[in-house]
Amino acid sequence: MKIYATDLDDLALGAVFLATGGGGDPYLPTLIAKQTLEQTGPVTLIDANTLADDAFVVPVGGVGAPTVSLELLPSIDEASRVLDAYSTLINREIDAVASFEIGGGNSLMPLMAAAVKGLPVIDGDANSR
Amino acid sequence: MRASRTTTRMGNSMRIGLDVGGTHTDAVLMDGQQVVAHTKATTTADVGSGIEAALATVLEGVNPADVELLTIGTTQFTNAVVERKHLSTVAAIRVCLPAGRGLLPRADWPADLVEATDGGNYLLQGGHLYDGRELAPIDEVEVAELLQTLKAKRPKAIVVSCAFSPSQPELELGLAERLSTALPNSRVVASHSMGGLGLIERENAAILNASLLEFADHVASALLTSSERLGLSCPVYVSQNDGTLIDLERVREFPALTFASGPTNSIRGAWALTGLSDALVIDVGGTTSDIGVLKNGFPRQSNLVIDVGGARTNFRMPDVLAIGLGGGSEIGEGGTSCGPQSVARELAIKALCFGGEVMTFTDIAMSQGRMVIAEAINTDPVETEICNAVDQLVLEKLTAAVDLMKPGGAVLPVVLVGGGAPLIPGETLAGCPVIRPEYAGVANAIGASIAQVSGEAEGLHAIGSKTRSEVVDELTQAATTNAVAAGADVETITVVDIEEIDIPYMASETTRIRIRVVGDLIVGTQ
Repeated sequence: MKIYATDLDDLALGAVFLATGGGGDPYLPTLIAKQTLEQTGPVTLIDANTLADDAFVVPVGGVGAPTVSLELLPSIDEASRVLDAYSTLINREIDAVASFEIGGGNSLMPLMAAAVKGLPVIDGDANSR
Repeated sequence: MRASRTTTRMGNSMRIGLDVGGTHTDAVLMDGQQVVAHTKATTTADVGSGIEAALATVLEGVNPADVELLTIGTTQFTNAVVERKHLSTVAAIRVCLPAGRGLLPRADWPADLVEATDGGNYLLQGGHLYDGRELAPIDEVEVAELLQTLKAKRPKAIVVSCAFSPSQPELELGLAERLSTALPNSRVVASHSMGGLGLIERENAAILNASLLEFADHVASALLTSSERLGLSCPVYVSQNDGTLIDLERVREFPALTFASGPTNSIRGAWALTGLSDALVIDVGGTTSDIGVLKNGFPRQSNLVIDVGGARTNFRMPDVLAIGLGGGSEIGEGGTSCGPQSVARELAIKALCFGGEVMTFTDIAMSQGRMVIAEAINTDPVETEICNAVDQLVLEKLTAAVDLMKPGGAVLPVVLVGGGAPLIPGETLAGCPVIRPEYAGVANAIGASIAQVSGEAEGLHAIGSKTRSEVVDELTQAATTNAVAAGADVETITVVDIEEIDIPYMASETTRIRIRVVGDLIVGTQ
């Protein structure tokens, strides 16, 4: 299954519901994720069962106060640069990206990172959703 | 009636309130709290001649020298944005990199609004962090290049927005000054003058404001010319979003502050007409009924993000619920529906009572004897069964809407205002008594005539530093200073709103406190 830039508004609204009040307003992450996917094309969503047992999956997202991002806006390349830095640090190729929580802005960060890196995203999160 | 007390330092006490809407231009002449004359005229294409006609009507038999103040509510600036007319191009400079790379100003605007205002977008390195530290140093080479580019492009207006400028305005002010010096023919707006935290919303507000500056000069000059042509030599003020007044000089600088003056003036007019400081207000028009809430004599503000012409902004505007119900609402087969489709401006051609083919809510109200229309061509009443079914529907619609808007389920009076107020049946809505004040049809012009000015101040209160009451006192003092600078009589200042919002994730428990004070305008001492 593929996720396109045009799917992101609906996805963000669902993520607000799943965040049950936390995670901040996904408006800005949605805006920048749309711009990213418009440039890179869609992201591939995969079932975790299709991965090899030793596949290397990295979750990516933000921690801390979402309020800060009202002024310090998200960038198109920050999530992918984190992946690059991590991959270099532990000297291993990444097979897929995941979300540690599908809620608020953190639902969109893995999509942006995956889009820029050309990697698939796992259909699910660390809250076993 | 509890209209405002105006401090008068001249012998006269008459005021004119004018409301220039998209369809109607209403005017009232007030002597103290009494309505001396009122008129409802049609807004003309050139706006000015409609204003002059309305002023001439209320000034009949009156010496213009006896008028101490002319106050105007106008939707011209809102309409300019909504209709993409009279807008200048604006260069948007944002100082935020390395944050926000790839996210340009106007990213989420409708294409036609971008086209109408696009004077280029420029992202520079710099700005601050939340605690005031530098995010990145300013790159002087980058700034020099930008100045060269803009000198070639000569934009009419420029907006500068820096990360965290509401708490650290120096960088933004410094750049704005350099831009003004380098480009003396461009108007420069620093984003922090348009609001608080929320870079995108603040920047959007500043761009919309900047795009209106040229038109604002034109409107302010035209208003002055119209008033002078009718022999008025009094000061001219314009009502802003919160229902208080700003002078024409401030309108020339901040036209966007008038965006919500339409609904605000109706709600303030309801306050002046009834003296009720807490009530629900329904402004019944041709297509919609707008339901707002009076709280301490002022409109309850919305906490939602305010969309103006498709752009997200941080403006504070009244919390208004619009439902599709008005004089032009079309009635479904056998009275099964009423609105939201409306014949709107074509009521006088399409409605049954004017010889047309469409059954409207106006026809129902006329048949039920609630409205008398002198110009009616067809006075055959609609069948009683249909009328009763429609009235039942209307009451259900309004009851549901009033239930949504009434604070905490409290029983509050419901004040009906606007040209369509007589359309609404009944003496109660959602268990609340309905009040129908005299002059309800020109409530918006009366709302505009209330001569008060406001001042605001905002600050952070961290537990462990000063006490809360010390911070409140300091902010009240700052807000008072601002109100006095805007023309308020210091003796009449009262605090009308203290808003406290907890800020999460800070090192110590922190609250943002915003205080608004209001005082009577001093008239006649220029």
